[in-house]
Amino acid sequence: MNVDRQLLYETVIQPGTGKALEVLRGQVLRIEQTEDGGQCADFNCFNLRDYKEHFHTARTRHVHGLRPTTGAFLWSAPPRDRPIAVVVTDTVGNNDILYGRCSAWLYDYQYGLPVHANCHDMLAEAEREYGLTSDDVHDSFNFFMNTGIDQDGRPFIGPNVSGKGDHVELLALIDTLMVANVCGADVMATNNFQYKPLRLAVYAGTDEELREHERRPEMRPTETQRTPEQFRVKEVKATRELTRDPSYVSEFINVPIELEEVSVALTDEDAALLDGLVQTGSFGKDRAEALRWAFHHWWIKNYMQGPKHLARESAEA
Amino acid sequence: MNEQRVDVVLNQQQRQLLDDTVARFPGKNREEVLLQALREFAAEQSQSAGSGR
Repeated sequence: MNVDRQLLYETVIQPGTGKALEVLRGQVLRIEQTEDGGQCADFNCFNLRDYKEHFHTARTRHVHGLRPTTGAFLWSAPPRDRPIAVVVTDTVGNNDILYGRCSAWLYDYQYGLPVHANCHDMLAEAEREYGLTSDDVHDSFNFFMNTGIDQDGRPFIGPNVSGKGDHVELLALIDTLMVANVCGADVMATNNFQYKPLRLAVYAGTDEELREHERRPEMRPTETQRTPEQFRVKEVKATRELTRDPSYVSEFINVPIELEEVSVALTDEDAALLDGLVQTGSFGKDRAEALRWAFHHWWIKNYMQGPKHLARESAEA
Repeated sequence: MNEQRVDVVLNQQQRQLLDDTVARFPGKNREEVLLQALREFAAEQSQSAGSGR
């Protein structure tokens, strides 16, 4: 969406630094390349009203894949499990949520550099402005980071392909604290082996684009997206040591899991279909398992919302 | 034609999914929905195998 936005705030973060910014529901944070580009921005995002809710790389990977770009939500973790922001502009389309933030350990262990700028410490320092601790830094969204997975299943980092003026824009769907830093990786390809400043700007969003994303099916609240009032333990734990609650009685849901047989009459043709599935070796060891497999696969293909996560061949069939 | 039966083991959550699905097909029961799923899934697998994938 090409939108002429009203600028509310802007700053430039220098190498070795980061900045926490309040970005309220409906506002937009732009992270923009300066100079020659080629700079990764590590990014955290918290619910401004409840910092225990924050961006969750795993759910975002699950829903949007390894390289989320325009249109992708930034999801929070269970039990909230909801979109808290959305990528509304991405001029490069090369972002990463596979790698963790770089840390002091990484440079110490891998490079022998015990004192080195790193994303964890930069995020922690920026988040300290809002009273958060180093333990509160979470897995980062790595904007402009060019990564992939090789044939052996190992992740790799490629050259940063962003240029001057390239940017991403994030529309806040709740009141957020958004935190970005100039990625500290100067000794790997992430930033083409040179730090560059990044421009951060907060803009007023438009009602139209907020509505556009709030209408998406993922935004429909469900009962399983719980609020702190629904937690059995409502208070944030304020001590570091873990001690057992002697009055604890477990209350797991749907327990016991109860198995039951559903009996199905088969024609010779149906029996032959099941035998054929069993013979492939991929759908269970007997007719009963093959029928259970067939039902669930059929259901996923026909009724499941969102990414289906079927094996590639089945998904394309 | 010899009648043959197969007993599919489902837990209560899977049965819930099955029953919700049965509700999508007025007039059908659990057995009929399971068999519809089997026939469509097997046809899909056969098609995939036939296309060499």
